[in-house]
Amino acid sequence: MYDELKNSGRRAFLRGLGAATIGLPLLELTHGQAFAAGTPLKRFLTVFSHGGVISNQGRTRKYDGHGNNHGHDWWRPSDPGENLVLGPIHQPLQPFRDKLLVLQSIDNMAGVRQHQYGTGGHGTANVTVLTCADVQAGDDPVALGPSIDHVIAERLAATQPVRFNRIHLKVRGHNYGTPYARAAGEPVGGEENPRRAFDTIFAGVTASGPDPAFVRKQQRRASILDGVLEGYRGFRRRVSGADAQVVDAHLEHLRALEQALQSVELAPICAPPGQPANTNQAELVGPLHAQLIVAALRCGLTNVANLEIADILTPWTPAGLRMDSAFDIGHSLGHYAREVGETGANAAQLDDWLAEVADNRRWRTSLVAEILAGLADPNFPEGDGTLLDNSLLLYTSEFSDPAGHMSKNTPVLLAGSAGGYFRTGRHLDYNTRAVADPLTLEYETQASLHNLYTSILQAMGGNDTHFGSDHADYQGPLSGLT
Amino acid sequence: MELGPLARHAGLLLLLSACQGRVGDPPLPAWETLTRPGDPQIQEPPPPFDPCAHAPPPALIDPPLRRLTPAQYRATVRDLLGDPGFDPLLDDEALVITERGVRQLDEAAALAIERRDQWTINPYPCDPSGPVDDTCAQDLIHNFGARAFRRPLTAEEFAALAVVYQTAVTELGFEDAMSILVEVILQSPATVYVDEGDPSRPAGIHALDDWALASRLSYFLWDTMPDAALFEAAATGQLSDPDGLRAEAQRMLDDPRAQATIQSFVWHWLQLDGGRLHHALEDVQKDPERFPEVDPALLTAMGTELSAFVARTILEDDGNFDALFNSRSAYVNAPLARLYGVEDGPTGDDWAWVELNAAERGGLLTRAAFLTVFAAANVQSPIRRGVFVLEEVLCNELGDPPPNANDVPVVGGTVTGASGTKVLSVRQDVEARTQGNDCAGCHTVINPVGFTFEHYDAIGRYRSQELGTNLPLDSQGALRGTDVDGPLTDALQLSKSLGQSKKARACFARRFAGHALGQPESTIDRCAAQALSPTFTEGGSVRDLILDLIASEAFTSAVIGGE
Repeated sequence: MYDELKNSGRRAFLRGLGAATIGLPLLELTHGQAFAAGTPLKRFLTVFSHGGVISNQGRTRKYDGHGNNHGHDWWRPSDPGENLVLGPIHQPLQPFRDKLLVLQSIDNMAGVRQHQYGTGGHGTANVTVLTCADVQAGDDPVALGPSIDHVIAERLAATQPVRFNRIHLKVRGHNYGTPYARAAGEPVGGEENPRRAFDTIFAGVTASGPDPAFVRKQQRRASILDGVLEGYRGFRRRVSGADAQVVDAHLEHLRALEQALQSVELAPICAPPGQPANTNQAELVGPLHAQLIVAALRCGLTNVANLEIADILTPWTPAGLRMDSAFDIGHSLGHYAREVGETGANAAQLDDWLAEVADNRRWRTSLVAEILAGLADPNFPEGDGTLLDNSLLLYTSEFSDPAGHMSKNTPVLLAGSAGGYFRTGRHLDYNTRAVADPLTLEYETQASLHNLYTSILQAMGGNDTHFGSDHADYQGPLSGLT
Repeated sequence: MELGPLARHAGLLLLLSACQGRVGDPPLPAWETLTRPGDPQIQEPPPPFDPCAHAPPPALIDPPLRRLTPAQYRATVRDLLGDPGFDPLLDDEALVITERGVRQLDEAAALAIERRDQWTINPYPCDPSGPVDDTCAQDLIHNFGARAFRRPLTAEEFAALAVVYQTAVTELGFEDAMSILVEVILQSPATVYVDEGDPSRPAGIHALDDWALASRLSYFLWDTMPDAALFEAAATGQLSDPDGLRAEAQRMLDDPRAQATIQSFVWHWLQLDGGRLHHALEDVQKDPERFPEVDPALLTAMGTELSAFVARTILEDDGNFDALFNSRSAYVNAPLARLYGVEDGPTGDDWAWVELNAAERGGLLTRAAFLTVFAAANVQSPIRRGVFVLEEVLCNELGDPPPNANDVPVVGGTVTGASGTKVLSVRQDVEARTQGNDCAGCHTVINPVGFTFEHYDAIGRYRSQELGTNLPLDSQGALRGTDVDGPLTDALQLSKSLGQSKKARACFARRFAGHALGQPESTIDRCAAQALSPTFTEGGSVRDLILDLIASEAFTSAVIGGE
């Protein structure tokens, strides 16, 4: 698998670094200019918010607020019709309403069907929500397949060469496992510090072209990487069985580093963003990460960007401290949902709870808004539109109702149309019981994330008929999106 | 489908977990399952059933290829170059390395070179800024390479590094070529991974060679690479001899570096690096109104105290398991002395060993670090403390809570119910919330253990009245499903029972062996852990446990080969 490297090795590469041949399409991209000709570029983004939303989702019926649990769904659009009227959690996205699709009643069936209680649980829900994969059960379940972002990243990189197949930034905090995986048994975490993310992503990127000292440094790094790669190829010949997978992954990542080095000459002519603060404070990190993602996409440094938000508390928001100070992790705040219904142990705190959670989730949504604003900036046109038009962003979470660990009716919001593929500005509900009465509390659906990701793969240019495991009710894309 | 390295061992794991105990589901002797009470045919019961009576020690598994932990890699590079200030960002602990992890190794190697001025061990046999010297480069590969790889290089490895040098010296010059060699070696598989296999041998269980044993010893006991004496012992074949191995292990245990592993084990065991329901100790957030004294310095001090306590109890004093749970010596600074109510403790920035109040404190479980992490932001958490003791100290697997379980911290205080408003203590609130049928099965076992800690608030201060409600505190409890069952007056009595419990010792051995062998704990069952060190199970000497573990086949051999 790696033998071809011997021939396409670093000798040719080093010569390439010396000569300043610059790939034209990428150069144009880095200027933020219109894409010249051919197939328009596509990009894929995820914003993953750990810990669910404000939801009244039950297994087969939604809560009406007359039990322990509240009856509110603040992720749901405010109007049941197809014309999208954003609900409370989505308010920061109002300027982009025409570019959005809110999809309801899509279950994470890989999570539901592989969990002992049929809801998803923390571990199983997390490792299936972006992978739809079979799971190796245990205290810390492991996904036996890649997450959707990795699949798309590999494919896009084949036709849209970039320095990084994907980037993955994270707002640090408490959460259960990572939803992202490169392959079976290979969970992937994100960079938490915006300064370090900046240093990696924008190394050598300038508005005036390559700095000779930087190029020489890269040449030295190329030598090192080449030597390291050779060492791992030798090692690979020594190991067998499952160990081979471990070494293959190491080799694959070394190749990714090599690719990033090689592309230094391709995409340096782009004004990098200002160096961000070296901070771990979530209220600063979130917006900085959003800005880095926008800048990386504008500079053509990646096709796929992920922003992962741990289940953090947000004491800096207006209602951020309404609830009891017993909470030190967002998980506890989420569980409180089952206490604030009419007969709940803390029914009197319903308004405070709603206010604090809504502010928390709106802050997370504001990061989505920040990314969308950057991508929709008319100063960086692309084709007849903006970067946003050629992108597709998925904003989701592992749960609807966090208190019930509910992987049914997973929160799904899409932004951008992947180059006009999806019809946006709409709200679609796949609840078959809602056909007769859009406001019914009865719940039944055949739609699974498997189907959503099949649709997304098609939107990104694939001819896939299925994604993930065999746990969905049916194979194929979701209806009504295009 | 291609299965990951974890899945590969699933079949083996099943075989090894045959005698695992469960709360409410103790292993029954066969006669009990076949007869009813009062059955006239039974004259007298057979002797007490010991499910572990004939259990073998931990079986060998073929674990997935391991690489050094971030801490081990950092310590290794520090030792290789004599640069104790080397502190790169390394945080990838995933079983299969991620792209980020590979990038971090690349950046760490570059950082090591940048810090050349700080090195106190010079890897270069000649002056790299001098003229081209191919022999010098070969010596660098041989000598520095062997230290980094922790064994002599194979011919293939030498040849590959020679090519790296040749290419670099031609294109970039001698000085760059020499530093490039160091950087390549620092990222090489033999440096980064724990490579014990020789695929040319037939598949099966093989004794590790001396070099691999030296690495196992040093990473187990010191969390870093072998020192010169250990390399020497390996080179002269001493480690293949059980007496030689034991002598070397004794020497290493007497070295202060041995603190590292036992401390990191206990840190992880007590979940001070974070758990399912709590932050790492350093990230703990407490209610600032109730606990204005909590700041990063106090949290750090709690950790310092705990690590010092563990090192002293296990390595300096008699190293007895019982002391871990019952010793009252504590290493404190002024803020900690205040927290513990020590009156003539250190002042200013000083630290000192003191004896804590015998009526209030015992070992690990009554110290601030544990009690702070296992607590809500404003009150104590009897449920989480109880679950920890049962699952981690006694290895009583409780299983997952039912789907309608509620993880919200139980905080007591004013509760409004159908019968009006009343003020409940945390204990009363816990009792009220866990009495339902779904909960009681486990909570009748969990709560009486957790309640013994009632006197310790959310940062481990000892109180006679509950903070917030001002209600009296009730620490009466009980242990059930163990070899030391019985009523308990408080956490001190709980600690005394645990210190004497063979079940707790077997559990400790199990957790510790998993840590030492780099195996998931679930692959070492209770019986195997007990068989590993009968001396430890009987007498409680942690030193015995460590030495027995090192002498065991699970430590000295590996599943190798079959290419």
